Amino acid sequence: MKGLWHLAWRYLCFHKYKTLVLVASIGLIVFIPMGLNVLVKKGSEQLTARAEQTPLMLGRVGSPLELVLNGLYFQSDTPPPLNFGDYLAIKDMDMGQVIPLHTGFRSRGFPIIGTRLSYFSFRRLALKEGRWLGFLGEAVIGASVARETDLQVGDTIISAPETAFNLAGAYPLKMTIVGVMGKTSTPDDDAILVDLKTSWVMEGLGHGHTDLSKDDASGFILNQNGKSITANAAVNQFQEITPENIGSFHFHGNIGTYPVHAVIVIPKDQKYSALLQGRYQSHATLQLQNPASIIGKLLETVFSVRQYVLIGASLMVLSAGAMSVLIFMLSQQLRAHELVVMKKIGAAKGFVVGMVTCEIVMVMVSGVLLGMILTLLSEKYGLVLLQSIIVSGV
Amino acid sequence: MSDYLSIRDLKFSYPDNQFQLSIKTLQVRQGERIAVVGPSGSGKTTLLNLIAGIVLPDAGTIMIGDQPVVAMPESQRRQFRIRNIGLVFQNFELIEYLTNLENILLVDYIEKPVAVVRVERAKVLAEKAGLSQNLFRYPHQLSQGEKQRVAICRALLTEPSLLLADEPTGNLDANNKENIMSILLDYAASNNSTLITVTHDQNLLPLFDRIIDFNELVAATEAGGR
Repeated sequence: MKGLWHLAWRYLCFHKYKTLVLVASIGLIVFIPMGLNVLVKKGSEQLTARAEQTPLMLGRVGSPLELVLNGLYFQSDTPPPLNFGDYLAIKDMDMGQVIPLHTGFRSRGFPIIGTRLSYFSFRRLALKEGRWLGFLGEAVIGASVARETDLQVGDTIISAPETAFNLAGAYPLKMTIVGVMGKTSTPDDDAILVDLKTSWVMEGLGHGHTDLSKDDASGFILNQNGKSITANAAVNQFQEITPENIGSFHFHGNIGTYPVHAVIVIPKDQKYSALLQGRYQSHATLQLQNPASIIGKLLETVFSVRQYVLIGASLMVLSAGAMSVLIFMLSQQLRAHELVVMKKIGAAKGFVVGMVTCEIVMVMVSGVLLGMILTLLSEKYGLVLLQSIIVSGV
Repeated sequence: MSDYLSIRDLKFSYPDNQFQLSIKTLQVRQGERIAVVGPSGSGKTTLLNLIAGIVLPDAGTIMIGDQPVVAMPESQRRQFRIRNIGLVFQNFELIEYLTNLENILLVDYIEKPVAVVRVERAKVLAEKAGLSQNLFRYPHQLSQGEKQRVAICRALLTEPSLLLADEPTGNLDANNKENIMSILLDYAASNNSTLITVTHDQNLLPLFDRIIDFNELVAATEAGGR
């Protein structure tokens, strides 16, 4: 019996490329349906979990999916903004907690999320090092941002200019990192979180510059009419907020018209939830969506697509299986002479059959193990991949 | 010397063609070294296969020592072949995916767990055959002569009392022919084993104790039958 396994093993080792192809084929046969199921199941669980944690989301009328994907996962295109006044209005209703989100900027490819401190407690985010946001111009970064950029507390990060060729538009803002969050395996790991007002500074709605009321600023003044001062282009506008210049930062215009891209709404209870949804049901400019419902519809589409993928995968599995059987049969034909020699030397017919069976068993077991390992790996690491595929695909 | 191999009234035919082989009688003594000559396709290889019990005759008896090969059950015949008969083929018939040492030990892999003592014997045989440096290489890495020496070591592993060699020098050059034949003949002489070699090489015939012309063997049968 030992000799049987030894000969089978030596055959497989000698024909290593053929063996590897067979093992890989069987591994894929096992992995494709199992892995697909695991990926879709785990992916949908995670997508749904974040959506279900977010009771309602307010945004500008447009694509509900775009609003929810952007507000939950910071992916997809930035939805059209609603006014900060709309946020204040729903807040004043006092029907629950409201958290504004500004998602319009990025740095090094990572989304910069302007929000309030209540976001951190709502998402149960914890700091790995540093502190939470305290001042304008500060940033707290997610675990993946820290890992991929090698940034840490005390370093600075610059927002990507959205309007590089528009001299009247927003300039890049240099922000100081004051905190690094622990890993959450959610989109918050990939986010740079700043105060909402810091986002507005990036928008160009707020700025700091040389104090024109001081005597040494007279060289910058073109015209002064009471409190209104017109300065020339030489006036120094700050691109970094420091303890020295933070006092000079101020905002122009009506804050009620400032943009936010989404507002997370956490009603006090079901009744308030229903009331709020009723109020915004036919709103001309705003939409209030239930993220779980929107993601549920998205997943329905994914699941219906999965059926077709599974049918395709089944056909592929059948083809791969047939190919594997064919390879086995052809190799047995090629080995017919060798097997005859073994019989001549003294091998029983059962020995030869047993040897070939051992080879098949070893290949099958290796293939199944490979498939299971791939499935386990996909369960552990494939989720992020699937999430990005689903989200970027939409 | 007593008869070691005895064939009587042997008749054999393949079911799918016209070939028929009939041998009235053939006696071979213990330790005798015999060359079988004759034209291709006359049935020499079939005779070796019949003696080894690889194929069975339609009629007749084959006795090796006191064992009736034809009458044995299949499994017993197979065991008998493994323990008593060494086979050498013209095309070496080595297993390409086994090392040369494993090829020499092939019978043990087939029959039972490989014992250390058998590995040692395989190494001694290989050393005698000048193969010590090639034990862990594969057959495709050897010359034709080296391959046949590995095949002979495989045949000699069980210390067989009967060696059947089917044109063992057919694919070899002159130097290797002598070398291979001397290994086989020396083994037969030193172990008092019987050697039956099918050959077309006239130059090798003087090395044998007896030469059997296969045509005459079959003709004698036909004459006796009439």
